Amino acid sequence: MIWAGLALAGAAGAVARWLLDQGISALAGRLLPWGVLGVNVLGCLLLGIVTGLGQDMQLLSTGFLGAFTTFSTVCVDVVRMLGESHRLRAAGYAALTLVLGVLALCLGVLCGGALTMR
Amino acid sequence: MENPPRRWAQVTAVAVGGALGTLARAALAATGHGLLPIMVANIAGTLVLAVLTSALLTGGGHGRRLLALAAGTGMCGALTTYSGLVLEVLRLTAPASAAQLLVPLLLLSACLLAGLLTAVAGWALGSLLRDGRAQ
Repeated sequence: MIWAGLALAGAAGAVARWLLDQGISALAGRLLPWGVLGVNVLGCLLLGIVTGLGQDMQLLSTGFLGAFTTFSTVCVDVVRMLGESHRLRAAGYAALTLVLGVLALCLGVLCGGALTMR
Repeated sequence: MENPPRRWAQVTAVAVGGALGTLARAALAATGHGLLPIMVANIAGTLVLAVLTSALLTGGGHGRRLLALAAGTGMCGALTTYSGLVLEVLRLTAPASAAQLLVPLLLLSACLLAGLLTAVAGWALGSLLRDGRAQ
């Protein structure tokens, strides 16, 4: 039964990623993949909160958030940018993904931990 | 491209791919602990996405567009995870202060580098397939 739940949660996560990416890209333009950056950072924040809360929510973490965030798109986009000789852009985007992802997850854990103390 | 596929068709494609990718990732995660199951999924998904994106670079059509959405955005996007990776890296390195964030950042960079090399290889393979189709 858990597999059906994971499939649904994963489908929802992927669709949410796609829709949010489209929305953000329409607003922010295509200089950088802001949409993918947005979902990845948001996903890290949310996963941090779930972790900080100490709850074992596999459908949310593995299912939804795992599908919501993406590693493959980041790599392909960076390689694309390098191929188009946008080296600084590629490096900047990679750095943002790394730093903001880590910071967001840490912040999420702190927030989640703070919430459990109430 | 004129007349992209209908919205519901695109959403369905992403959803189906997303479900499959998630199940595959969950199955891999069940095989072990730590970084390895996550990175196996991440590398596999990156390779497929790079090949796919490169191979489908030329040529339009609804079929191709929906395939890209299902297999690329949906499946590869869901098979690979960034949040799960960051969490596992932080778990392994257990930084106790801001200064100690350097270690997880370096480990994460190494993971990203592996992904980038995979994407380069996949892109090259995809362009071979694209050239093969063109002939």
